[in-house]
Amino acid sequence: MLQKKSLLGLLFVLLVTAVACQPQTVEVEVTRVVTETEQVEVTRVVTETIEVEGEMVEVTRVVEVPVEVPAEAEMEPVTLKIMNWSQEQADFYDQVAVEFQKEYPNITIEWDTLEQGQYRETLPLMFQSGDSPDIFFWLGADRVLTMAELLDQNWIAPMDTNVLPDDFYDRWPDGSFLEGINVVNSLPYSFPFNDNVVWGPGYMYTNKDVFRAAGLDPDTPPATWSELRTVCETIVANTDAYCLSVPLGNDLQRTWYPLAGMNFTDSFFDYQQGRFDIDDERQMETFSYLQGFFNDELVVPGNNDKNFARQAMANGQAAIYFGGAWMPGVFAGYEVPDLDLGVFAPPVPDDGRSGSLRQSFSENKYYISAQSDHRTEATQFLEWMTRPDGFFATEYLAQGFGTLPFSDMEKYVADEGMLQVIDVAKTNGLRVAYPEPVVACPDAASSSAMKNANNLTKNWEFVAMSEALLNGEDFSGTAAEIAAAKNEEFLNTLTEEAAAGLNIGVECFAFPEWEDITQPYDSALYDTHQMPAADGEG
Amino acid sequence: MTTISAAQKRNSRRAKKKTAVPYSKQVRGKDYFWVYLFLTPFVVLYLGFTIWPLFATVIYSFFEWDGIKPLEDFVGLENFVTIAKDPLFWLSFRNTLVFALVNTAVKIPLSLLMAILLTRKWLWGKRFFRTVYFAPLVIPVAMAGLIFSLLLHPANGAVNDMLVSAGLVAKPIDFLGDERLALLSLILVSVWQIFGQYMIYWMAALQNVPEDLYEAAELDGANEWAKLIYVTLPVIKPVAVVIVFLAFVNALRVFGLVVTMTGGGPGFQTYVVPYFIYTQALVDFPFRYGYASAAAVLFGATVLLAVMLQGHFVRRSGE
Repeated sequence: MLQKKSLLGLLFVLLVTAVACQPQTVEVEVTRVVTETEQVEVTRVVTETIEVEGEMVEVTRVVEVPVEVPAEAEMEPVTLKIMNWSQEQADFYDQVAVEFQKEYPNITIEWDTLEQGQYRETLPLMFQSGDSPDIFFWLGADRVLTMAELLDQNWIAPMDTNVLPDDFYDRWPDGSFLEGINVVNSLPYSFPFNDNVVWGPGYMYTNKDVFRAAGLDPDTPPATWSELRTVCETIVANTDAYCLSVPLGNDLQRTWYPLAGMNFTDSFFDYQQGRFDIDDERQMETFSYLQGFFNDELVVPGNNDKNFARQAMANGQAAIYFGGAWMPGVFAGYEVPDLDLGVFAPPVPDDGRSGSLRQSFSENKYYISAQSDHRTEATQFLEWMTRPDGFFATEYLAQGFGTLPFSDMEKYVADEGMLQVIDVAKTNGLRVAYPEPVVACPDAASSSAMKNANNLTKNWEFVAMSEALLNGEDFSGTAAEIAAAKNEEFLNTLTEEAAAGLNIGVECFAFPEWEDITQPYDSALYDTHQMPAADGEG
Repeated sequence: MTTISAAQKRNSRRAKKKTAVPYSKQVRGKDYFWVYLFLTPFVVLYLGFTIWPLFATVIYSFFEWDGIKPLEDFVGLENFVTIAKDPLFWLSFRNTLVFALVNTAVKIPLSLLMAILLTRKWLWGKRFFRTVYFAPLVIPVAMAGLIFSLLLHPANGAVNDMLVSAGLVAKPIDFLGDERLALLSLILVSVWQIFGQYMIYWMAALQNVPEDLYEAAELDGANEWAKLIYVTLPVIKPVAVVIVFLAFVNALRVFGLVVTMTGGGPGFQTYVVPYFIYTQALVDFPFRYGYASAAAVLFGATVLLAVMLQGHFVRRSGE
């Protein structure tokens, strides 16, 4: 009798569970109270490969996908605070919060976005006071070693792998997750947010109306340094506008990277020789070329920052601004609806391209705070955010905010400017994979040599170049001084670290086997790369 | 003669001590309670917001610390040694002193002159001029910096437009980009903003000069210049020392205008110590709070020394 009752009870429980788990077509409302674990359907964009008349065809369609929602009774209401510095995307983040809550009704997203400079000042103070956001956006001084820096600061915690799907890592291209870059002891701390082929500096943006006013064809951009020079002279001679809008101080990097990258490298460190390279004759050649524009008054005058420089170009005060892949979204945020924007590859030296921009593992940007009490929920959000066909990816790309390595960019990007950016990057192969010291020598992640050298004077190269550009001064002496000081500090630190037991040496940062800087570093070469001697005297 | 005089003074002081009722006897019983009760909020706030930050800054300067991690990496005097060899710190130091000295040298005589003019009985519209000169002080420093950045801009600035239109210059001047002009531009904007405050100080000092001294000087045939040199300045001299001292110390704290107008540029040419400290501690990642604290301590000690020397010489000149 007792056994019969138990069996009946078990059957009843199974019946209730089966009924509860049946797919239901219901409208998901934020305010709906879910009393039992159940499945609801949410809208997803799905790509399938189907066979049509013997050919495999890729089809994209919108479907209702069942998603299991735990009962509210089982869930504590949680508020996740997220912060980043993309103010122009604030409305989008509000939508993200609403969409996420449809699937996770117990989690409320509070997304604050500040101006970049303000953000960089505010976030450290929040950490200092123990009031940091649960998820935050950050790029360190050495972008590749941002995770190592943040770990050193005790700012970050790993993602909760218990709530990550098995195929989580498959969302990214192979090799996107590396120990020392975004993984520690097999635990992921971050993920590549923007791709490293398209995303980054190096594009030439033009105001086509200024080109037209100067009698130039706006669709035939200058392709070489000489052509750019001629175009600039024509614009200044035929219009009231200046040619280039160049921000100075640390913002000079926006103009410097594409010019230097086409001649040699956009890095102030020469990864072929393993030394700081601002005194290299190719870097000096790029500087002299740029200085010629300043000396001949082809540049908007003044010690301007990036915001002024961008506005000057958008308002027709200048014809050309060099900037990153994010600029179409930035220009869209300006109230210049008539801006006819051109996006082109940067001009190359007259005898051909002889350098490349650095494509590195530098796009790990979102982290979970070590101070967060909601690591699991934060991981759930990041998992939701990085779904290849999810709301975040599709809308982020559709609105032209940037590129994403975990989604199909060409499928979802709708913004004309961003499509041009993708086209320029892929057609011209602006970026190539540089060798990564951390991959060659794992101890490089613990080394302070680069940091110490760069700490001598922050942003030294850019600030010193800005001063020389504004005042028409010779830069060679200062360049030699900067390179000598940085290299001395770099080598001294390496020596001290090797003596202290790190398997480190200048060999970790010098890749002479990488002969052609316009071509990617072949990862097979890591196997034959010369390592420092085990006693640290290499 | 001297010995007798000193003895007389000592006796006089003893006599005063015997006759005067000490404070401890003036305040009795519950009065102590109320005195300390009313003193407590000030003392607590003073300890918390003045003494403790000063003390903490000295402590931090002996650590390699980013402002966030636990304070555990004691490095002794290493930060001070590094600072002593940091050319950017010494450039900032030099710029700060130049800024403070020139700023003080310009604003003090200018504000005194305006104060003298605005205390003339014959001047019409004194209240209007006082308001006009004082008004810049109520504009936030950041706002003033942004406004002047635009006014002085070589491409769009109104100042350059006027100079070029008037034929005074052939092409626009890059006031904030030229390394010879940037610091001077900052100084002049700072003077424009602050000199109304010192004008008010001077006016208060001038109003304390007894009118009968001027009348006596007039009877002796003194003109306005002679009255200024032989009556006004000697009478206000004690206050003047304090005003100059305040002006110099306040000028050493220049920060907001540098942030909004030049960002330390062109290059590093307008870096001042407060801006140097700010960038080291809070702008350039990874942060160097300990290093910035060492810079603050070193700069503070140097300024304190300068102020003590100044006080010493002022006392000697008084004697």
